[in-house]
Amino acid sequence: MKLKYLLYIVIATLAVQLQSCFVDDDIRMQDTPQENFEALWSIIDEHYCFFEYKGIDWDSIHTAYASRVSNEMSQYELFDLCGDMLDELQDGHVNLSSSFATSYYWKWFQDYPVNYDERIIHQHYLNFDFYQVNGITYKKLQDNIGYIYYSSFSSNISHNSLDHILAHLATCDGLIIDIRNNGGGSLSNVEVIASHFITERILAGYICHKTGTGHNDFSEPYAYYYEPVTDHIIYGKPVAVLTNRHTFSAANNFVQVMKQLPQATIIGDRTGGGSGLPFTYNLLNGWNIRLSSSPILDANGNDTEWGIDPDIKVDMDTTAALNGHDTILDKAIEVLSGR
Amino acid sequence: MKRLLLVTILTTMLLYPTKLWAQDSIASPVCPVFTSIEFEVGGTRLIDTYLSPWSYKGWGIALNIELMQAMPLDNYHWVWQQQIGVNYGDSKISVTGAGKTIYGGLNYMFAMMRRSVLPIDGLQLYYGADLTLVGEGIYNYHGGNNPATVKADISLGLTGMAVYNFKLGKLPVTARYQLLLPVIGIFGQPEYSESYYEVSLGNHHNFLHCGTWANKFDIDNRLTVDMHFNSWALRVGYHNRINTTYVTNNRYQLVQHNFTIGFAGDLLSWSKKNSNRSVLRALYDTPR
Repeated sequence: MKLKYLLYIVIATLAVQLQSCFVDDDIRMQDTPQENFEALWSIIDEHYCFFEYKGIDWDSIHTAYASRVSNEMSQYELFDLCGDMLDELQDGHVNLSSSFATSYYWKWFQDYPVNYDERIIHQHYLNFDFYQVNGITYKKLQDNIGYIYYSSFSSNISHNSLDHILAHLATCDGLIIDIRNNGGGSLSNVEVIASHFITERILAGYICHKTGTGHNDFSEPYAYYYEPVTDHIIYGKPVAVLTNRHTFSAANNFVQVMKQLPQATIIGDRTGGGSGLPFTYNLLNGWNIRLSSSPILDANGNDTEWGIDPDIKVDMDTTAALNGHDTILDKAIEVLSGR
Repeated sequence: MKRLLLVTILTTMLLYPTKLWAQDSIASPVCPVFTSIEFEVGGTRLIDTYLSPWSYKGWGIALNIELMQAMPLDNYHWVWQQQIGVNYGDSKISVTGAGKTIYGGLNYMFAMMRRSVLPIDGLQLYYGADLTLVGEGIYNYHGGNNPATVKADISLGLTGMAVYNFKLGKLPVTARYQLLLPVIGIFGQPEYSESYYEVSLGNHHNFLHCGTWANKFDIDNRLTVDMHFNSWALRVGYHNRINTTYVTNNRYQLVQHNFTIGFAGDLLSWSKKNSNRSVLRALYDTPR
């Protein structure tokens, strides 16, 4: 019996010792420019998913930038330097956010034409007379073509709202889904909309994620599928999806899904890509770093981080635009009208 | 409807097991349900590398309810115990005070313990096994696709309790130390950078983990002092909880040190048929 009691005393003593076992190996770190720079570099090093795909040597980038960091520099100078380093990733999903600024990588669309002018569409095609619901603008165009503009996949859209929109446009000969300048949002909205345009279960793509800190530590790609809606309207007529370089992230994912449908034609410019699902982490000083963490592949297993080419490549003619013509939209009307 | 009835019956049996069993014997003692309600406030340290590489510290509050009753097993040398708790905390990065992470949780524990009277007057030891259910959520205000983690686990463990009844002047006092030590269980954790979105798509590979001391170590220490005033007691104490997991290259640790204050007492409904029966309390009495 004594041994049993002794055992309890030992366990109780052990428990008291364990109460101080919190492993806070960051406790000696300090909120200095050098510590925050190293933290930023390490977070990217351990979590970013496109090093291999883009052929980026992150160690050499550390060498190039770390020598420019000093503890005497201001937070603004540090922010600009870190922003420059992040630009090396060539990724529109990578942002450094502070209380005074957010860094962006602009070059992914800078070298491309704008290819969208809302005023032209509202004035010359919609005549400032259209319906709007949940971020979607819609109307029957003069050539009996339905037109939907969806500005952001962050705007939640319900199946019921889509039923109303598709019922209104049901008599049209075809439907234009304009997602130019749509910078993405929720992947759930991609599925909600796409499910109104498929008649059977389709392979939507693959998703994988990092399983460790190594640059090539990835899980096996996981196939995911979309199901057609039940008890809601399914639109089976020809569809044109309009894209430009600002069609990014979840909007890029939507194009990736629609491109495989036989009745859909992608018209416009190459999309902006952004196929990595982003994660966000804190820096010690309270800044946040967003980075691509989980690659989403198309149904053929290809990465679309650099964008998706349209079926019909058209840029907006800037001269025609002066006369109120959107040549990308005109091309879509022409294709759907069978002219 | 049948399912609801079944759940109701099972819940009733779980909450009042010995009450159902004890009614068989007329000579058996009356076993009141010991009940305590405690409010906790204290400090918290937290790290969850799925959300952030940094450790966070802050404050936490909790509310706990405890039930305990002697059981007619082995001449009333067994007790059952239930603890139900809800907690909330708010923390910031330890080093700089930047960022913000909040957490909230629910926990339930059912234990059965045998008690032994020691040669030292007033000292008893309780020892047995417990089943613990924990559901927690942690939210980091940085947003994005990894703003939160959800923790859920079920575990079987060991528990032990030392209870010492003594008098402080004329005031009866009960001091208690209890240790809960989960040994094996099941818990969920996504892989290193796996989003809950991917999990929701159906990728459950390597999501559920068998929790052993190799990848999960939890411990719960509770030290309370009950000062008896007539039929109730004022409870003050200290509660320490440590939850640790290390799986899929993600580390999670929550450490809480809380000051406890509350009330305790035995819930006993007297009736004439009980008037000539003895009373056996789960915590404050010693079995014969």
